[in-house]
Amino acid sequence: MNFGKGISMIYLDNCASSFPKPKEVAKAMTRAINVFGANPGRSGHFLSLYAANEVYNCREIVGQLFNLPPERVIFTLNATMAINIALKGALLEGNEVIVSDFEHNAIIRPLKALEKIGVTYKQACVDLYDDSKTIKAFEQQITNKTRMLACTHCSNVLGKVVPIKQLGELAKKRGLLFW
Amino acid sequence: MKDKLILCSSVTYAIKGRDFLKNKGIKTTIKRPPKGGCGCGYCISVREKDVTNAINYLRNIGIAVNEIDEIETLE
Repeated sequence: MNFGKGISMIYLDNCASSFPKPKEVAKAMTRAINVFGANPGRSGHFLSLYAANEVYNCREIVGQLFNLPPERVIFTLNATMAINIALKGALLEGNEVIVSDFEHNAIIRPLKALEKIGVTYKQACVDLYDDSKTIKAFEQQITNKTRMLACTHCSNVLGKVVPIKQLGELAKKRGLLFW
Repeated sequence: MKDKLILCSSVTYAIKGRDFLKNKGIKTTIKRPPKGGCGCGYCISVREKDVTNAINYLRNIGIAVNEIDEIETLE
């Protein structure tokens, strides 16, 4: 990246926020602002319906990624807000959650807050080299109070990819929410 | 000619219904409800002859049909 006057930089903080953003993101955002930035859900004019169609297309694409129908997709301001909605929407007094020991504050802090209403959480150790040990660590923590397994897909600190496919299968087998 | 307006609870369901009906060969357009007080509701407009089939198709894919209205078209 060159900032002129001989100042240049190699960005090394991608764990906090990726930079530069993909060109496709900038292009899509620019198009949304300049071409169809009307109210997508309350008006009846052409531009409003155009915007609504664009939002719906986005719902369809995201829905395909998560194997959901378009109307089950909820847009949020950011991942932290989505995590808060998911945890606070799904957990009740007496429920227990098992999380990995890689979790970001965005998940730990809402869980700490939920302790006030009787939700508890436990951490399962992610093995850096042996995924089967990670699965076992989660499985050993499951009790009859467990309602959900929740874990990041990849540690933003270590870069370790957590075996979410197998953890999802474990959750399904034990009748738990997986998130 | 008269068109029937099928009221859906949101623009998302209206678009989903429109796309489904289009695939079934039913001509549709989406409009805001002519009457006020419908909140986020949107209408799928269909030809009178197609309304029964359209409602059945919509219900089969889980779209609640809240109300049917009628409008005159120029055609």
